[in-house]
Amino acid sequence: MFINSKQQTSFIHRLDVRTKLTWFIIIITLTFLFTHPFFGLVTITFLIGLTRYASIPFANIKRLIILLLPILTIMLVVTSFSFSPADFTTERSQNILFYLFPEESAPLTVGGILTGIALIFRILIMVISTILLTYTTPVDDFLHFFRKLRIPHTITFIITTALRFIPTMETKARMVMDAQRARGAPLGRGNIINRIKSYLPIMVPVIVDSIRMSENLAVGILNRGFDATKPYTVLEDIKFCRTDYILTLIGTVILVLGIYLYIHDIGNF
Amino acid sequence: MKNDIDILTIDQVVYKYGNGHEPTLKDLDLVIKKGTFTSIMGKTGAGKTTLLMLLNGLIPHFFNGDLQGTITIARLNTQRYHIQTLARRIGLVLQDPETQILGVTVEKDVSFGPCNLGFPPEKIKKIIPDVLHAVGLDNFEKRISANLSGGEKQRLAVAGVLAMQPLVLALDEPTSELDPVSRSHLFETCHNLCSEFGYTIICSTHDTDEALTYSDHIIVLDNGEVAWQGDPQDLFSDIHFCKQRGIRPPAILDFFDGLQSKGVVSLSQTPLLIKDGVQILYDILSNTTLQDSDLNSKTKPNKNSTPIIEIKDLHYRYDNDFEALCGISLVINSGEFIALVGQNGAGKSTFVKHLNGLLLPTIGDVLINGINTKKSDISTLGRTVGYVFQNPDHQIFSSSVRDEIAFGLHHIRGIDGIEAEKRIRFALNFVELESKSDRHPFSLGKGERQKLAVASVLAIEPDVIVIDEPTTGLDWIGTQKMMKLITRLHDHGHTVLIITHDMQLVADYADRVLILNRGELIADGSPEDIFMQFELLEAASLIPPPGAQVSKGLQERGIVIRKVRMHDLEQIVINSLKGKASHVH
Repeated sequence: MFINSKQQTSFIHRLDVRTKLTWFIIIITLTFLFTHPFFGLVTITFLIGLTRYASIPFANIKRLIILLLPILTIMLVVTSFSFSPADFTTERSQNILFYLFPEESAPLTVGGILTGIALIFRILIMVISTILLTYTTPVDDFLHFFRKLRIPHTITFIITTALRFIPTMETKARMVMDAQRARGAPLGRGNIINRIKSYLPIMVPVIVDSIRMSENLAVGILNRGFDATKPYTVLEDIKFCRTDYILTLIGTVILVLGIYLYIHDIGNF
Repeated sequence: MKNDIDILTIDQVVYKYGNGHEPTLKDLDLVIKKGTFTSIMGKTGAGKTTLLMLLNGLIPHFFNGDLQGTITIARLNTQRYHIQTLARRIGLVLQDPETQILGVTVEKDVSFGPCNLGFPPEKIKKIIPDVLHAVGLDNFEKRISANLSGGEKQRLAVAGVLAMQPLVLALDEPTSELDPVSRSHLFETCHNLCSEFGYTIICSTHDTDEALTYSDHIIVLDNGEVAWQGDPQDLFSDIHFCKQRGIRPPAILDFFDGLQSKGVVSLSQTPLLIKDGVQILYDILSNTTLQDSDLNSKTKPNKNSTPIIEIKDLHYRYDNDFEALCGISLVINSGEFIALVGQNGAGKSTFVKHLNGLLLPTIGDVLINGINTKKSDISTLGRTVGYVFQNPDHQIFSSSVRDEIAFGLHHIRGIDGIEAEKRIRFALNFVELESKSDRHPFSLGKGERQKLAVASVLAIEPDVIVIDEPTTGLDWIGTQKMMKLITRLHDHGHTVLIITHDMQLVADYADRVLILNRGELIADGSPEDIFMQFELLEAASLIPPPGAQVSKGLQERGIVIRKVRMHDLEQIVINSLKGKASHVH
């Protein structure tokens, strides 16, 4: 996902990473301030609109949501039943639809359902805005940002190298898996202990190979003069343009407005 | 002029690794001239890699040990400067290109070195296209490095060190995993860097033909010492010395040497190149009647043998929609010795993975002993088809050689106890590892680990044994031993299918050749039929074996011979000269 981001260039892709991070934080803050499902619905619609605009395949978002579906369902059910009418201020929210257990325990309140929905929206907003951020921002931009924060080069370098080696390790793991399956290795069969044991023939060669590779990698890095001079050359840098200033300003205004409304207790139920 | 400056001197160097018992390099004295192409040759374990790591300061700065003597590169003593400082003088590309590539994109990777050295950005932006051009990767800047082919990765690794603008470029067996075309391409690249851009090249290699064609100077290492150094012509002319030091002699010279030792011909000159050999052979044969009999050629496979694998219109499409195999149909009979050849990425591995059910066809069917792989499973199919993977380290996980073999035996055949013990002993004897059954597999050498992988498949006694690139990375001695082992497997009744890039081995050993090109089977026949079709080989980016080149050369001069094995050519010469003798009589 990090790798693809360079090839498409929408307006969002071109924004500075700091602008995007600011907006990310603003949106997350607002979702915590306003619990009304209507606010959540508007924000989600807005974010999905942005993902379409940035041409992020909807399948990727769908896949994540499907993965989250069981958890979201459980959350909705549990929250719906876990509030008593006294927890809510408005009359509508205090409405009790029915009791799950006899003797008036575990009431299903309208307020509970709304809280549950708000909670789900909050999670979806976080998921979608994270996707939006990572899909439209090359990993290098994050690394430049870290550098500006004066995080040591060694740490950012470890992150880049790890990303570079994900496909390599996947290929290695697949080769080992093929080699062991060809020898009839029973992968993931039997009870839990046998199942863990069955992955030993995969784990051992992969780990041994990784250790060998890590030494070669260390040599490779030295051969390329890593850490030879300080400061090292920075080829590309992140730039804060006019649009970035404007958008950050708008974001800040919205946030201040939000906090004002929150203090005056508008937008909750 | 350029050859007058010593760019590299090694003075009385002795080096012992920290955990070693005896020195890996002993009393080394070497001088390398600026602007030359030097090849380092010798057996596996002779100290080639150690020597290269000595040049850029990895020894003693990264690998501890006991180093005596001095190494000077462009007037810098390597013991006094950091590896990173020396990187401005010498760029080293090690064997596994995968771990030499550090950038997500090609551009990022190439700029990594110069950025570390603090080059100004404008300079780096100019260097990137320049070095990519020098290694033949023009316009690759934005490509994702993980998606490159093996040959491209190898060239990117070279570009990565070139970008630091060193004076010397050192490469450790850069072509061991490449197909013949990528291999000669890489050597040509290095040769250009040397002759056009003035780089000094130092390259360790097992490739006789390339070392002969491209290098100015050869250093032969043996057991940590310089066994010989000098002109490539002189080295390869001494066939006995080559063989003794584990260097593959030029095929054509080996051929004439065979004739000479049988007293058939006596030579005044030593041909190293095929074309010289063809001329000599023409002079010998042009006055004789050709005795081209098939009597002595390798016996053909039994025509009555039963089909063991049937493949019908096999298509395979990967998840990313790449069609790796496009409609392959063939029948493999019991007892055949088949070689599967083709470029890197032609679909060879994808194809053989269908033979034991590791992959199932997208379209079409694969029948093993009449059973469709779609209706069976790997453990059952594994009784018929055993697969020895290219890298033995991808399967080794047990703590002893014996347990390693027992694993497949237990899971495929369900055999344990005394019967298993018997089979393990048989397999170990067969691959000549019987004395090492209790050793830890990782304490064995690379060649031995490869034998262990063969033994672990052999113990299962499958009818068909598939071996993926059995000789990759082995020196000439190791290659010969491995091919002898495979021949014995075949003689023992196994149907053998090997994947290889070595056409000489194919011509010498296989009785059937399959050529895959971009997922299509473009040729299927005997080596004699296939290797004489030069246009076909060129289409598949293959280089004809030496025997076929000789036959072709003779055909062009009017002598019609269609032999591709050096051994068969030898028989023809012997018989023809006998015929001539009897005529004179």
